Amino acid sequence: MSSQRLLGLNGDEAAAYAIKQVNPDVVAAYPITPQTIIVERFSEYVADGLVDTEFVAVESEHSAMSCCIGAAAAGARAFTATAANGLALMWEMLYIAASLRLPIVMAVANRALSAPINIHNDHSDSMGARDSGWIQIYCENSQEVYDACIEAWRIGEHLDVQLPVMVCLDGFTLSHTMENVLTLSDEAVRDFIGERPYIKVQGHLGEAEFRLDPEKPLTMGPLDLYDFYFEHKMHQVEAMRRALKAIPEIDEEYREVSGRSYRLLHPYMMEDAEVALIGLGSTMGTVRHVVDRLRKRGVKAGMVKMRVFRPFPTEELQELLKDVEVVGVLDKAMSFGAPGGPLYEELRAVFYDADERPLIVDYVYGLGGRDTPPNLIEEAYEGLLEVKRRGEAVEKVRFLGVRW
Amino acid sequence: MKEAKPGWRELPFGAVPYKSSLEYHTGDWGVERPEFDLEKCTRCTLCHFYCPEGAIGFEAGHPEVDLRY
Repeated sequence: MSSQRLLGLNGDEAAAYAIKQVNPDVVAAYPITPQTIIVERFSEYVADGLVDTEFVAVESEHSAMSCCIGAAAAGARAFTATAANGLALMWEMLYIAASLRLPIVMAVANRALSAPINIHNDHSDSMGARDSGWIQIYCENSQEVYDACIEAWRIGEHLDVQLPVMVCLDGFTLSHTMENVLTLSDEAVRDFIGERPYIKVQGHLGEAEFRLDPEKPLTMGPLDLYDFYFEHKMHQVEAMRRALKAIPEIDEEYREVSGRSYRLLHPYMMEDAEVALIGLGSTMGTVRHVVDRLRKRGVKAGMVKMRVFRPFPTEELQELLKDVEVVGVLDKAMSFGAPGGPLYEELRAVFYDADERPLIVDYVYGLGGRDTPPNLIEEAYEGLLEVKRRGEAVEKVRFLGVRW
Repeated sequence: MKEAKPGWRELPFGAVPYKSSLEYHTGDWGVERPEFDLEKCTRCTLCHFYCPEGAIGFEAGHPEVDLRY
């Protein structure tokens, strides 16, 4: 393990610092709260000559992602950061980045989508992008943001994967809150990420690396109708499946360098848990605190933090939750008109065929940054215990912390 | 042109076309086939530049059409 330096960084600064150490070829970004600090800080690194990056101050997020796509297609390492409406403006380009198999890394400082306008945290922005073909990693604290912004390159560029990666950090809760962050040396980061590897493909003049090079021409993403498009989507299906294997492998390598390991899921007190909450992001720190509190009172409570939402770790979840009696899902986004929030729906789908399965209820919470203090989480656990007593969940989708 | 198309496992990575457009013979799409009257042809080469498929060559000193395209 290499020696590390403890820095006081908020989530945005942690992302910017990691990207500085990665020293990507291109950063194209447009400022939007609560992501702004990332690109602001990074542009200072550029101005101070601390990185070799070409910083492109684009006129919109659509252009930011387009620029990253062009750069990554040409073989560069490209990074951008955004939030909420900025991510929404990137929409069509998100799908193109993933379909063209370009391992771009993007930090998303999760923020509620308008309207009404709101700058605070929920997951409505990145949850909307869950079908775009990007890998999604959700962070609990600034340390995880820093580590994910380094690991993301290796995950996305893994030759079995080759997909873009979204590193999601909760707006303000993480983006603007200073914490202690252990940082690797520049050299350790450089050694860990190495050079971007390329898949070999057949270009117009023979074998070529998968990047646009006039000397070895190839065509990316031409017209692809009913006779080939479906097959190309299968490539993306397969890449996500392989990412499920690649992520823990890379994580193990990262553990050797940093001593920190994250894997796909973080279970806590799950060995004998009768009721458990599962969720994403910074709230899970609060949940862990509440689990400790409940355990002191003899309640067999546990929790599972999902670090990786795409690809969805189906088998790991089945294994982890099969013996739990009641599982509450914390959804910081709502899919209007759907049976429930996105995580709830997927978790239920995962358990439909299982012989052993928990009762599952949904807690939609925190929309627009609504505060989620420990007593509210405790209320959720009480709800789960009530379901356990009754042996059934009458009300399956609940709204935690809203005024009635 | 009937041919078995490759399955998804055989197709190249990243939606790179599995063969170059040079290999797509589209000549049979046409409803008319150009013919040259070399008695009247002035070798002005305009047909070469006008041909949308780039299928008219002048290697022989007069226009020749590659009817595969």
